[in-house]
Amino acid sequence: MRADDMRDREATGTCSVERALMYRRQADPRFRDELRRRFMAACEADAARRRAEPGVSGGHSVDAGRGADAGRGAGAGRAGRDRNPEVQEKRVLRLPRIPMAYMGLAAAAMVAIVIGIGNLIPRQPVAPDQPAPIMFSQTMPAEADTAQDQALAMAPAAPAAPGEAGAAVARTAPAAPAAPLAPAARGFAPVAAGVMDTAELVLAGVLNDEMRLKLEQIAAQAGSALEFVPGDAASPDAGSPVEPVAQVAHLAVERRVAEHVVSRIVEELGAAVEQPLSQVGSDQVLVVVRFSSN
Amino acid sequence: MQHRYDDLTDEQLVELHLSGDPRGMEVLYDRFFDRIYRLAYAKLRNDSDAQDAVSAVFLKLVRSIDSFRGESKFSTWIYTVANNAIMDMIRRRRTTLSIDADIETDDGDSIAREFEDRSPGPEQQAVDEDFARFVYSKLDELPEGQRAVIELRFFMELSYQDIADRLGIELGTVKSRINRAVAALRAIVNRDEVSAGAR
Repeated sequence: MRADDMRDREATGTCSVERALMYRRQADPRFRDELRRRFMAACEADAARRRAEPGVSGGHSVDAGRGADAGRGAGAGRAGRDRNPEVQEKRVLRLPRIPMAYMGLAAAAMVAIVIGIGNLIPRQPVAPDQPAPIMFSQTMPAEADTAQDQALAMAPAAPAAPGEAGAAVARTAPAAPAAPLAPAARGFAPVAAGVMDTAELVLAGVLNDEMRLKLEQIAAQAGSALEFVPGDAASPDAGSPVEPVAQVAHLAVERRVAEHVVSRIVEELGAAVEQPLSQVGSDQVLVVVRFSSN
Repeated sequence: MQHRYDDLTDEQLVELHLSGDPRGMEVLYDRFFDRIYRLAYAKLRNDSDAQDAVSAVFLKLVRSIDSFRGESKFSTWIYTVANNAIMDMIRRRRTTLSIDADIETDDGDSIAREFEDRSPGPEQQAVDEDFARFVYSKLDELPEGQRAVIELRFFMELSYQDIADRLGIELGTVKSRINRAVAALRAIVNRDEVSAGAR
């Protein structure tokens, strides 16, 4: 009996209930010995398994155990359990172990979060360091005959003066901003981000004055202006300069009248819709009319 | 050799076992066998069930020794293991155990009178045993907190400080809670003795 217990007994007096609680029921000695034998056999097997594990150094003596933790034993079990260096390395930060099933779940959640954030970032269609569009003027031959001419034709043009803007047009069909791009932004609402919606129409035949006049009227009524892009007309005699033939017309109109402009071109000129109006959401819409001689 | 193992703390013996030396476990067995048997007997109140429970506890101890993290004393940890194992056994056998059946057959008047006599001898011992089982049967009527302090103090023989650490309460609270628990148990026992005498 402990000293503090004795003091309590003296102060309060031991009652019959307390004596009953302190009654020492003895187990059958045969049972005690039999269980000891089974218990020690289980301990031997468990210790042998631990000795066989890599990282568990056998041969620990009583002194080693004594020196390992002479205090209240805090951490003794942990130290023994994490004797495996690999386990110790994983627990350097003293973080709780995470079951592998939860690791997979966490990885999937991280991927979902990254994709979600990526969806909210609009993609920029034109990189800042992208080379300027290849330009040519009406004085430039339509077809470069020599390698030198090709090199000249493919050289990036200097920025055109304001007055030359109408003459110098983009060779890349139909035009760089109007190039059919994938929707520029993913997310909850359309964001044009510098990309212009386009609609492409095809007209049978070569551009003539009547067509030009009607197109100019439609453009003027829509508050826009026509812009013709020369095509690659074949030269009757090779070597002589040929005036480029306009085969593509561009109309940059406001979105609210774009469908109306397209339908008027279809009705009045008999054009066929090759690509319906895209729905990126730009304020300006580029209507491209191609003239096909076939 | 054995006397050197006897000098080690419970936690050091566990550490030795975890490092591959199981000899210290026999010391732990000797230290805790009687306490766990007493706890099991108090809860189950017959030797056969107590033996089954103690066997389960010690075999479970080997299997789950890895879960001993050293954050508490081994004595409180093994109390938790034992308590869980015994309660599992009670739940499994609830339909077949008749814990109180043999208690009811005793004569309450005889127990009280004989116990007051305080004369030693085999007969007295038998009466003590019957009365102890009678008292144990009333432990279930105590609130969980009071029953826990009685089990930790009287059956597991933990110090007041260890009980305070185990339950996360102040040392003074442990003493007062034990006193209140014993007083409550005494009231329950007296009440049932009186009612048994009235019958």
